[in-house]
Amino acid sequence: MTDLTKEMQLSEEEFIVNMGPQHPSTHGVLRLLLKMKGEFIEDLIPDVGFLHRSIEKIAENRTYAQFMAFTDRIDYCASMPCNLAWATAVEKLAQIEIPERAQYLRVIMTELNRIASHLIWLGTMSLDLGAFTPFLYAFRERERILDMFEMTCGQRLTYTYMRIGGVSKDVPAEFYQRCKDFTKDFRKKVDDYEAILTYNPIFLSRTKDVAILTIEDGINYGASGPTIRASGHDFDLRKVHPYSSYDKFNFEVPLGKNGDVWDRYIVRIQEMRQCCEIIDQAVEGLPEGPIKAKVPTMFRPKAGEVFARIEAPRGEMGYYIISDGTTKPYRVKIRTGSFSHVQLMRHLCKGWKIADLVAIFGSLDIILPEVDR
Amino acid sequence: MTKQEIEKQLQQDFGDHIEIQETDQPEPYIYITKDKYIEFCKYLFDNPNLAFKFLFQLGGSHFEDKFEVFLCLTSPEHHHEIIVKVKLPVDEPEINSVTGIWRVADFFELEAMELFGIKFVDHPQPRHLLLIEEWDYGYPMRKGWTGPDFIPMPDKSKSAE
Repeated sequence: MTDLTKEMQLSEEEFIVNMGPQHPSTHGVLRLLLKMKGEFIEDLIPDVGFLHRSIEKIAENRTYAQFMAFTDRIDYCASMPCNLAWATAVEKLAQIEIPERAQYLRVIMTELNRIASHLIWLGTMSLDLGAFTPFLYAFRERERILDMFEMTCGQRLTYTYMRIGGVSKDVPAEFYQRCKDFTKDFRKKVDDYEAILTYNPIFLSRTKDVAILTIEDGINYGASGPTIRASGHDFDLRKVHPYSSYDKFNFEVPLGKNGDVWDRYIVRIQEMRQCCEIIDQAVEGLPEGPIKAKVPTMFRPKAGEVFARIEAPRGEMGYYIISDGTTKPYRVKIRTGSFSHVQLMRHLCKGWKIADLVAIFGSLDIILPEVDR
Repeated sequence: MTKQEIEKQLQQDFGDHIEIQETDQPEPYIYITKDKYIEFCKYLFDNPNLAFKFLFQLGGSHFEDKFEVFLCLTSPEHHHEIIVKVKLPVDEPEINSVTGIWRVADFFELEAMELFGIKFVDHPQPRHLLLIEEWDYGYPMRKGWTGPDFIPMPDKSKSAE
């Protein structure tokens, strides 16, 4: 949040446009400073920090278990993966074995949340591109997922469902049938979304061959998750470094070809179908047993450092924890996918029209609380 | 490459300039001296056996007697990981920027710059990132920092012991 305008050298034909902080298509509070030449973007500086809450500093004053509630607020559209990342990191540090049932429950919840998060992306992106109906459809299906979460842990937005060593509650008996019904219905609903958007000529002209990202550039700019997979880079942490028993499920990793906006769209759509596959297998094979390992209330891992990462809906998410052997972490560094993707904007938007910016921004699926933390 | 193989190769090529930290973690933790930092990073990036092309994160940390900058690097090709750390003096933390190698380091360095006061020499665009421009209350992520409206947390963990 600084006077960035003086950092831009302007020629006579160029001018500056301030997009945001409050703008419907910035999905939160983000200010984009655009150097324009006519309708074309010459340069772009993203100005972030409007939602900065200094969660990393807060972590230093909370116990490991208490901080779980704050991880929800890092990315409120996908709280479960944030919970999972924190739990995975702390368990890796303290070398806690997780009961198998808890691992499966974590997978079910994370994948349901991945669908919910992708639905928000689908709704907002299509809304930005002028299609209103998918937004309503997406929120209709998301409602069913939130109902299932509410049934399990009583919350609809910030779940704090996971605990260090397992999960907080077992799923109720009626959950299984609801979950099976949902995945069965949802596959057809994805077909509906695709019928509206995928080969729609207007949608194609807005997205096809727009803002192509090569694999090499993507990796150098820290792109991860669906964004880099859309360029054809076959890297999914669920396959490469399986955590939380992901190695027991059969699923495919959808890949794009060109790395344009349309590819980033289709990869996420296909990912939602794969989520259904994983959920079905996990619900079917859910083992009996305890849902939480025995972890003392005043939990005190040994001094040391740990680095753990997982595949969140918006790219790779990870924690780096320095422990000094007390009940509180000495230092926590949070890495989120959107933080890198905001930087990618500058690279992708150069030379495109201001209307394309909205499509590019939508396709990267950036959420601002995750950037500012 | 496994942890032992990476450590062996780095020891061969950098000898006294690196220090391997003993941990029970599956990734190697390597300290590199400040003057060899950029050379070491370029080596990690370019060496085809290592190919650490993906900078997962970069951050600072503050200790009583030193600052540290850590880099979590991963290789999308070989799927191995490494944590590189540099010790910086507590009175004048200053280090070269790695934005020339990994462009993603830009924001990570800006964040460490304004929250810890670590100076990144030849960073392309030093500016405020997360805090307001009028921010004049020091570096909030340093240990023992207090600001104008700062209320410390009551220490409950001690009474529970």
